[in-house]
Amino acid sequence: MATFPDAAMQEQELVVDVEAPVELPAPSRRRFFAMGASAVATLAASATIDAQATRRKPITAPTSSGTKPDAALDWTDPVLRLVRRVTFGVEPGEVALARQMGFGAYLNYQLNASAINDSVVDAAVAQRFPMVSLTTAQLRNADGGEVYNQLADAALYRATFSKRQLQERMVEFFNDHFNSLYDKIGYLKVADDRDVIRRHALGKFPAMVRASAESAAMLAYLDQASSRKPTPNQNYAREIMELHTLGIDGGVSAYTQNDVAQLSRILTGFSYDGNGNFAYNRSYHDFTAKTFLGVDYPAMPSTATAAQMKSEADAAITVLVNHPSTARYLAKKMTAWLLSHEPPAAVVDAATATYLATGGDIPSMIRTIMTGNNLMASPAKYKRPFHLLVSSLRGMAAEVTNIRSTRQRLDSMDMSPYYWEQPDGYPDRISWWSGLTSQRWNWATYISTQNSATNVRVNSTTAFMAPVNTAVGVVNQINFRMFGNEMPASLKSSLLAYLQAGTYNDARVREVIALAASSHQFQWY
Amino acid sequence: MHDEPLDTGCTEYRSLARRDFLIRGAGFGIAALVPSWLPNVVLAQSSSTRDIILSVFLSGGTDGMSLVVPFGDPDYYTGRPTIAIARPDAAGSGPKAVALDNFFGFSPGMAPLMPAYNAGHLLVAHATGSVDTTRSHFDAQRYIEVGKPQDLNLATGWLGRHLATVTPLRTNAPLRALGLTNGLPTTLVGGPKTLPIASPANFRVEGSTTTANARAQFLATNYAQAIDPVSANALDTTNTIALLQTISFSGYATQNGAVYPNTGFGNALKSSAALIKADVGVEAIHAFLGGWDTHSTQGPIPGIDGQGMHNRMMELSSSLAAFYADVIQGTTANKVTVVVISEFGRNARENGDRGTDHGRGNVAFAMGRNINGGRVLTNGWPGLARENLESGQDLRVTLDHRDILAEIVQNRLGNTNLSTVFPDYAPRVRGVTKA
Repeated sequence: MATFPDAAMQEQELVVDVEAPVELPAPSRRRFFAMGASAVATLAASATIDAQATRRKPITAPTSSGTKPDAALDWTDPVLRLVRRVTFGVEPGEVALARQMGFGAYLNYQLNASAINDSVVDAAVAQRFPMVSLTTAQLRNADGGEVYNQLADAALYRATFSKRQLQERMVEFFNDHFNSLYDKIGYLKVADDRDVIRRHALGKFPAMVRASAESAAMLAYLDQASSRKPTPNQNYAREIMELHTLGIDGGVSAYTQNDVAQLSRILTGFSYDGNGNFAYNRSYHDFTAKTFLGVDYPAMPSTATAAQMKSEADAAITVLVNHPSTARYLAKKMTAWLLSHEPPAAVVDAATATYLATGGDIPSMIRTIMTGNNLMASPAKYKRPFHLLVSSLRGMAAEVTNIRSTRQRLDSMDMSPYYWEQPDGYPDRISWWSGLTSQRWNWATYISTQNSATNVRVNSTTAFMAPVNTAVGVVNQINFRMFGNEMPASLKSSLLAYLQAGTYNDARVREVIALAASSHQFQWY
Repeated sequence: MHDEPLDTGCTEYRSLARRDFLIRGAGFGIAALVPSWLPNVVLAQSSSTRDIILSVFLSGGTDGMSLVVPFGDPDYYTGRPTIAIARPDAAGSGPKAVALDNFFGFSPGMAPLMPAYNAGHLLVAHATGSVDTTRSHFDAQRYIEVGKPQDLNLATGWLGRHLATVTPLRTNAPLRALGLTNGLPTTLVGGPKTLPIASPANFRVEGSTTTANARAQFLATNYAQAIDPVSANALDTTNTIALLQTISFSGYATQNGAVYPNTGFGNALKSSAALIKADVGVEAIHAFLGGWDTHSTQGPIPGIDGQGMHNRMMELSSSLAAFYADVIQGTTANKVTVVVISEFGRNARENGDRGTDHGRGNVAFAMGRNINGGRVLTNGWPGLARENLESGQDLRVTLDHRDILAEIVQNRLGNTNLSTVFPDYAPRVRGVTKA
């Protein structure tokens, strides 16, 4: 059974420890309120009465009093804002640790993930999900369904319990950035997740691009493995530019269709062997002359070695990863991931410069993006289903013996790990996910009522009732565990009212925990 | 449960349901039972006479030549020595095809659809499919669901884009479309007010039924303070939950003696029927029926190899036949058109395991009172002689499935934005609809 490190808690109102004073830039605030106002206007418009409706009444929204503020406006502590973005959700142990370390030291601690002792979780993963440690050669004859279950379970388990929370957040980001579909590639994803994504998620971006280009999973997913002269498949050649490196910014790209065709010829030969390992296939390679992004690749003799042929692609990838468009594309996407659904231009500029100055060093970019000022100026981000699951498990101090049935809830929330079909990865947009509201609410009810020694237990007694066994005490404990003591007063009072409106017992307490996890305030980070 | 008939006729069912809505809307004395966020289900009527669509996807790649047998092509029998379905005029008392014309026939498993076919309301299309030659389930299904082959980046579905580019059938409908699935089907992605609802009868706030209303009220109040679209989506959800609670799915009484099979698919179509008859503004429903990936011991007729495919065809045809009698022949505010497609057909020749492997050309169906049915539509039968097969093994695709869908979208669903629904494609009119 896994639990969180015992939280030195019981202090219901922790003193806010702001390490560095932060100033709230007024323009962002204003922009934000303006957003709220326009959103209200949109809703009002959508609820207009149809002119032809004589005997019929429109559906109206429950009345809202004035503006609808962003959830982040209640978040006054920069350290807590950092914890929210660096982790998969606040829980008392992590909050206490961050506060003790302070903003800068805690960020450094998370950025230097390999120095964090995560041996308990590593051992648990090795024992529970042994397949994720196997080579592709060992996995090729394994049951693909079980391989998937272990891989997906391990992802949820690590996201929930690993102390290397920022590493896990970036693993999620880069699994989307270098998306592939389990249905199409099967067990090859195990190696891709481990040797490409996890290995480089807090490393150098160029090294990750190269590792991805030689990953059997990617070569299979984007049809590169079977691409051969004289009519190569352009799928991977296009996506490595459009989605992995150069990007398309406002419809403008740094490459042309001819560059796609040229790169597809350069990449011929990238394939993998029967054991799922990268293998260069000389007979597929087009060794005639090419010009790609303005660089000439002269014709090679057909007697050239595989290494000589492959050197063309290595050089082309060097051009891609050193390109300013790649720096900007990744900077913008990381800023959106870490900071705001609408990444501020100044932060993107700064992160772009950091990429170019450091050779694509991901931790350096994160440092540029995740400053106290930037965090305090950022509106809240909307949790995707995976994030919501993990943050609930963390905030409810779930005790996990077997995570599978919990993980399978992701299927009904449309976010099964490694099951996004298109190469662009699961979207990170509010509008994409916010339609699945009932799934979120029912997830909260499901998890808060789990009380199984063999699967998952939310221990309402020890985690929520024991400290102060009254309605007020339980709401305070929810605030402490799930909201870092920054639960807005309105939510606090409505949860309390709900709890007090019925008989105070374990079932009612679990309902209130579920309502807290269902509340719109818990959907943000 | 679903098959328990009520002793009320359907007309009465409808008026009862309608009266119930009106009472709730007016708040007559039952306020204590009805949360304040319950929508006034009486919806603003648009004047639209366009159809509601039920879209069915047969996942796994159904063997169209076992559903609709090309008995007039002798190469069908040459290529399938053990699993072919006998000609309608074959000697003996064994299972045989039911003639649709002098070339094609339904297998016994599809025979329940004969009444719809004979009434001219069921169109069978053959040698149809996608122009893309992939034989990957994933790619083929995806291309058909998004409505554009070979575009890996298009994330929205053809039906979703249709919904996004047409005014709602009912102005204030909280729910315009649903997939009878856990996740939103790709076909519907992009549609406004579109939700995955695996079981409409059970779409609710889970947990204690005693506190369900109180918790729903809590959430409705809570989400009113959220920014959009989170708030608006929550409102649609609570309204949809309330809406579906007003429909008695378990007490739903079919018309014309229709009996839906008590299977997942049968119940899905029965729920669809209840939703459509309740006239609450749902204008598109998408459902799946899987189990068609018949690589071995296919069993397309009774008595061979466990008759697995025969049973699956019976589930399909009986469900559709019940829907035909109940909904298409029944009383609905808007007419209903049904389309049935699959990702690809299967090899012309059987394999060594008395099954068939992934192929190309396939059947598709369209059903409705405005469908120009009672015939088998082809754009020329490509023939099953080896030299006529694609890659030497498969029925060629001579009719793009988008031609069938586009004509329905334009003529029956009232949407002329075909370039959005089917990007980069100029559909041809094949006379699918009565226009």
